[in-house]
Amino acid sequence: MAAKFGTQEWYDIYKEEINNSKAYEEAAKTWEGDFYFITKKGGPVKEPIVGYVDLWHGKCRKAEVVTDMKKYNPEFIIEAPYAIWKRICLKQLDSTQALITKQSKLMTGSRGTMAKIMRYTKAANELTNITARIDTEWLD
Amino acid sequence: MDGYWGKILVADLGTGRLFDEPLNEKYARDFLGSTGLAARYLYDLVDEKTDPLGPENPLILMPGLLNGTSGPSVSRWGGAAKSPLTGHYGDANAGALFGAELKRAGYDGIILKGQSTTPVYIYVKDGVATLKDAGGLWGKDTYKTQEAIKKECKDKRTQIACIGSASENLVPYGNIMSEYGHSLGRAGLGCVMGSKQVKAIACRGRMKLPMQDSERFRKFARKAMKEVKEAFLSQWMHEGGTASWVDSAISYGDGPTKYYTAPTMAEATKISGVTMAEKYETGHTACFGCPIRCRKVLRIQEGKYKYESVEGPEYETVIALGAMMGLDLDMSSIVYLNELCNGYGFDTISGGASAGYAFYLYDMGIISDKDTGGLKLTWGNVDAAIALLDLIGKKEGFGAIVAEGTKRMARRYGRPAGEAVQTKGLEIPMHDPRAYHSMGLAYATSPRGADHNKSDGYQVDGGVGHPDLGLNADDRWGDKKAAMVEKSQNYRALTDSIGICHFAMIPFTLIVDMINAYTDWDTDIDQLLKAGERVFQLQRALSCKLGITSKDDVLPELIMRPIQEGGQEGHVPNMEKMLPEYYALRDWDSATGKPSKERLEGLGMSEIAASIDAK
Repeated sequence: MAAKFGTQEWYDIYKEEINNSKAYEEAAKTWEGDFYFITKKGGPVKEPIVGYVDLWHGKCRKAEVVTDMKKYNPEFIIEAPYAIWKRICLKQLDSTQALITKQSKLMTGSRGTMAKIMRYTKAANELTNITARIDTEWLD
Repeated sequence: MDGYWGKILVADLGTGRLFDEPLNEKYARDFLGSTGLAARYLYDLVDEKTDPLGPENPLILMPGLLNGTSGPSVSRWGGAAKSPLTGHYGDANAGALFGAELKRAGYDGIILKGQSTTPVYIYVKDGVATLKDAGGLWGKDTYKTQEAIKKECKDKRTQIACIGSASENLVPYGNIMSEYGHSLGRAGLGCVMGSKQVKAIACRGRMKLPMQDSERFRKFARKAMKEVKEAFLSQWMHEGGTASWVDSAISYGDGPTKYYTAPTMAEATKISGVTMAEKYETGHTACFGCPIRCRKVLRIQEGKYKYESVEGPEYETVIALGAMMGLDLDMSSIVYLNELCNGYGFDTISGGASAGYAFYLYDMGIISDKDTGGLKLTWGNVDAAIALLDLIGKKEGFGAIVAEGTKRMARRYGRPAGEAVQTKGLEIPMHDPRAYHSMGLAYATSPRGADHNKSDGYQVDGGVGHPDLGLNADDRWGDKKAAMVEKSQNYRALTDSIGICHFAMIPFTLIVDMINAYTDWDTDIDQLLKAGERVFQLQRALSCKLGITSKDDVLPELIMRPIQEGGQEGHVPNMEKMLPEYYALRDWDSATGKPSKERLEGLGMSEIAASIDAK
């Protein structure tokens, strides 16, 4: 059964799929860092959807929908409208190209650095390979 | 014609006479500047019989159309000549400050003709050019040469394009260096300059540019500046520089290792742009008017070689002088190797690849200590690599053989031609076509030979596309690449001619606006894209005029062997599929490789079509 995008159920599946992915594990074996993935308000999204994802040495330690942005202080924040997230998740839009073309925005929080994230472009692509595999009920 | 001074400086080195020649305005309008305009001038001056090192081979240096203006990141300038490395069309471009200074010194370009009997340098200041003795400079490295000329001119802002002893010694891939470590790197243009005994060209310009509407230009330039400053790619390049690609190259198998026979070595991360940023960076330098400031200044206090302040090497250099020879380098050593090559003034891509081929031949037992003069070229031997690069710069001993480039090396040792990883005689740059199939097509079809700057293939499929041109990221191992490569080659032929850096994400409409405000043209996107195609097809026609045919549009056999481990996962580009599709799009004859008469005429080049007997 399809999981609705942006729900805790969807993030639970996301976490499980990450932890089952050998390709991601290999690409991110030295990665240590966490994210907020923010889906901006607009279209079918009435309030911003904020997903917290903590990635560590090729595994996902936590994937949680949060309502209070103050709950975590992640190293990186990526923000995009719903339509863009949908295209990224379906691999219709390359995640790096989305950033380059300003369709999404990367912020480095208070601790993260651009340099750190540059080492892991393949890991980022493996994350979208994973989202493309999730049976997702889209909001539109 | 606004946007141009209307004059070219011609140096007739045989007689020592310098004179101004009126700019061919039609050429300028059609081919814009830099490598585009230089190629058009070159077309009239060389043929198949021209000796690349003879007096009849000109060296043409041109600023990009927008060089010297307040447009952001428009510093790229270029040159062209018949290449002593490949024997056919050669061009190269560079950033830094020289192009802007040349333009502000009152010239739309410089053509060096003939050969001097003694070392000279050319000094251009505010519209006046003089020939000066360079006897005291001959033999100096490129850094000391620049310092000495600045001192002699008593003006630190003088910009110098010079050669080192590699080009004095006629190393076929000798380059032209400016602003210390910036290189007009490929195809051996420095060697041509060396054959003319021209040590340097020094420029100082304080002239107000011939601009049609300064106020309007500034308005668009400010908008463009804002776009570039805010672009994610700018932040990325500022933070990591080109060498930040190293980590992606490791992941995707893009960085050739052990002469194209092994997965990209993970140890290269120690000398990546990210590592530079994290551990060694003290600041940045920038090309003229560039807000990105991607060049790194490093302080290195650990390792064998210590530097208080030194420029960090670029991506191509990091791989070519490291992984290519299987070297597990620290930052100190890669910086030393880069400085060594820059000081001698030779191309780190061809130099590194040729040295890598020597390591490969040694590993295969084809050559031995007897051939190398005792150098033990075992993969990873850093000391041997340093010694070999030093010999290349001096063109001495075994270095004189490696200085000839991989194609000639294969011939000398009786090896199969496909073992030398080059196309049309020019060594393949550090983006492996087995990691990005589009690069295979780009390398096979680039007019000067293997050229990573004439197409954005690896960038587009790596996420740095141009959606407004329909260039979007796609499967890196896909084989439907003909249209993407054709479009991106045209686009790069255009931006190179204008002088725009590859990393400046300027919306196309603003490029049009800036050009129209600068010149008295009323151009548009379609006309400019057509100009890009015109430049590319002209360069192709010139290659054909100098002997290139469809038989030369091939990838070497060695690079078509799959590597199962690492980021390539056993893929190789399907050239049988891509090449015919590309030929159809280009309208090139499948037997001769020449662009069709109809296509050339459609681009306004009837005389070129007639010249190569296009059908």
